[in-house]
Amino acid sequence: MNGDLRRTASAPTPGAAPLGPLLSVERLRKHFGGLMAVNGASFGVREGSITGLIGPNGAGKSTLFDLVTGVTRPDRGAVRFAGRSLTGLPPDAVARAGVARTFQTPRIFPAMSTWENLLAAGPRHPGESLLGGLFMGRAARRRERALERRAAELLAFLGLEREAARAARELSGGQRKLLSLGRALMTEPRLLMLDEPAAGVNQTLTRTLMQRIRDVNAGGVTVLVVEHDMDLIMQLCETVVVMHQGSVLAVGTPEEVQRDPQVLAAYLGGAT
Amino acid sequence: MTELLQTLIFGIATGAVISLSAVGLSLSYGVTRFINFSYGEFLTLGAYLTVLFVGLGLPLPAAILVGMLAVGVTGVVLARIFFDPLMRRGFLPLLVTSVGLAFVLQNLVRMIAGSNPIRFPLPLMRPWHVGALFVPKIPVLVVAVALAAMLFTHLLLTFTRIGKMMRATSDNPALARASGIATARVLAATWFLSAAIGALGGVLLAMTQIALQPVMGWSFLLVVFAAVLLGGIGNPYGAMLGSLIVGLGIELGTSYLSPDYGHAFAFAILVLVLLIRPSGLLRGAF
Amino acid sequence: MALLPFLVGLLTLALIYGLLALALNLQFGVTGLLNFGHVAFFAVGAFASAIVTLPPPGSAAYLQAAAQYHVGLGLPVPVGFLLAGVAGGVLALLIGATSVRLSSHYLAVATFAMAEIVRSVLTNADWLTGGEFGIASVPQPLKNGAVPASVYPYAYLAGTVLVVAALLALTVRLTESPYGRALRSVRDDETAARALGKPTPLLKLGAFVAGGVLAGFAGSLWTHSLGVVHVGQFVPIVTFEVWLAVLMGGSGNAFGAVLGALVLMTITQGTRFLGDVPLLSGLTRSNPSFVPSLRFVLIGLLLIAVVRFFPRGILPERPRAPGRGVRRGGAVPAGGSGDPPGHGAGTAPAAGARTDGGEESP
Repeated sequence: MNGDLRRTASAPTPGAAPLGPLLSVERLRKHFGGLMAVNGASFGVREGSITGLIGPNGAGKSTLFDLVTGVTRPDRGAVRFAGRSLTGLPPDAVARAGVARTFQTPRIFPAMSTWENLLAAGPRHPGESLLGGLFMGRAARRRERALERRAAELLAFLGLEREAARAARELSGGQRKLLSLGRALMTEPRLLMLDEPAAGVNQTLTRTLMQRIRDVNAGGVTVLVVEHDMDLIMQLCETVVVMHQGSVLAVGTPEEVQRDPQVLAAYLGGAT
Repeated sequence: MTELLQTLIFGIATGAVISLSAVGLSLSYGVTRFINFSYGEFLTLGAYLTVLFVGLGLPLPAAILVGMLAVGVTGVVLARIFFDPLMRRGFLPLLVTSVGLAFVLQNLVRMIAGSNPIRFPLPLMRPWHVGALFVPKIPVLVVAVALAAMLFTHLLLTFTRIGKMMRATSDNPALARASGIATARVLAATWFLSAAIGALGGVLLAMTQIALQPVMGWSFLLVVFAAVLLGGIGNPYGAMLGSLIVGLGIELGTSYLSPDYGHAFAFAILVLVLLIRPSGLLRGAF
Repeated sequence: MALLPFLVGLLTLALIYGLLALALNLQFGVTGLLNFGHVAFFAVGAFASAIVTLPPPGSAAYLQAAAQYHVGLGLPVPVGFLLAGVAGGVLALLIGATSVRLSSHYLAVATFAMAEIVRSVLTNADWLTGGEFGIASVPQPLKNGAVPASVYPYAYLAGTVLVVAALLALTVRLTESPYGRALRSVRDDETAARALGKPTPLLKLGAFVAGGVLAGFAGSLWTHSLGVVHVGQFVPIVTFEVWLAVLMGGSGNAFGAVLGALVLMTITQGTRFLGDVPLLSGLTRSNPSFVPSLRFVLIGLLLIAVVRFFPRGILPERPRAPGRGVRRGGAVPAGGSGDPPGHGAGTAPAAGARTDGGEESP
């Protein structure tokens, strides 16, 4: 089977020939009340890529994110990730499978320090069970030190060193965006799903964020980003998926998608 | 057979009292969006003030109306002092404040009126003869008054201008505030109505229970919660259905299963609803 | 001087409330669970400990006390203590397994309702609990013989101090551990915590049960201190007195919780003497509920005032800064394992790479 030969669980080789999408969304359907939010959406995200997900308001992008990450259950369809099914799993199981996400409005842990926010995100910690925390054996202490090292690296990577001891509620909006990116990275994900990372963010920070996303991707993390900022999408993404009225309208490179008459019609023309 | 009929009639009466109280609680919840643990005290105050006014010489119906007025005003004042300043701070301060307020009010009543049960001044009424059956008058009166009050409220909310504004505010407080509908007057009117209904509910409760105790409103509160949740928050008809079920459940359970567990039946229903179907029997506007 | 043993007894009760506050703080202050039924765990712990340690019916001690209860196992008090914790934990497991997934308002109402059900059951199971009358011959450890009666209150206080201090230390250790950090993340933003892979329902249940165990222990200390157990001791206002203690002391801070309980006890017991004030004694005579009701009015007012004007409490929770070994410049910590230096924006820590420099990661 192709899948077995590919890679170990944690170190995908960037640039290796893709053997099937890392994430594949298959004919997902979800309705709320009378509204069909997602209507038979299907697409794949190639491993190692930065893929953009765009579409006019109401196209179903946020709902799609929620369906993939387990926040909502689809009425029909499937979500597959790295060969296994994520359909119907709760959000924490999806995260543990290697999918990390950020939220449009950053959801930081307000009463905890920036430092603790990062540490808290660290996965697979023996000290995070009741007995594990009480006794803190060698494995737990080792893991804690390893997480501390990684958190320190991330603080530097994100330029948040000076905020380490401050309560996260005191961070500015831009700093919170960086922190939530940092927390997602702490989970050592294979797929990073970013929900409008540049929303409400100034130009300088947007450039910083873009560079960080590129760096993260260079390190082997696949990125799926929802954005309204077309510049960001054009510059970052190698593939763009366009959604409209709950389903996928077009998939292609940024240039192809920009020229696609159906896409243009959807954004400019009669639709919603 | 007569016993079953009696139980059913009292069950319906209890359901009517719960129903009326639930209407008042929903009004308060609609505006504030938190569960007001001090709501039961409006019932207690309504009953005790009525007894006070009767003691001062007023005939019972007048005493009830004056009591409702007094409690309505009290409701507005308390909301202004204790709840309004906290509205922007999230629901936890409001919840805890309402618990604190409940203790204050309940114990003020206890300080002034004592813990001993007080008899509600009902004139003695002989039951109706319907064929071979005796139908007690009090529960029927209770149901009639409760239904009249709920009808009045419905008409008020549907056909008057301020009523429509109250409903709009209750449906969507944020939007109402933003669009200027939720004026101080509208909010005051909502609190007044909510508290006055509670006061009437307390009077009717006292009529079904005969004896007043300072804890009556607080104990009854969970019963009202149970009914509202059973019927679905935001759904007044659901609340009525839920109230009927809970009322009957309490009376039937007390008569036929065990007199000792009284309100516990309502609490058990509440817990079951929360666990199995938190949205209630009928889907509400929520 | 009769005042001193009285104060000693009061301090003992204050510490027991401190333990209750510690438990509630773990559930609410640390994990964000709105437990409005706390008194129920206290109650089952007290009754469990009492019943298990009472001299069996028919025994010499039973006959000597002219007791009337029906169930007693005559086991030693430490066993009663442990079983009290188990009872509190089991009740918390039952209530929690069904309720912790409810959102805040509903959790508050559900826990409150379930506590009332527990109280109703305890009142009506009078064969077990003495119902309306309670049980008055709960054993008080060491009282017969080993320790003279004059020293007894001090001995009990010493024991209580040891127990509460030990449980406080354990709780602090837990709160500062990665487990505590996970609990706090659930409190701060459950959705985000879940999106990061934390099993939030399980974490909440664990905290709820741990709180139940601590409250059960408090019940045992309580009943053996007083020598009586009676369902009327476990009324809803106890739950809210403990809430007041937690809020006053500083929600989220274990020391704050215990401190808050001491402050609470000072205030509520201080008002006990109001009945002796000449102005009020007339009122007190005509209405015996007057002074207790006044105390409850005070508690209600304090709840309102603390929440409005003093929400962070005496000892607020402080954000935790990076500890030793990690310097604020973001440089590689001493004893670094060969990871690339953290300086500079260009080096992204590779997401898939080992984070522990070659050591085995569990």
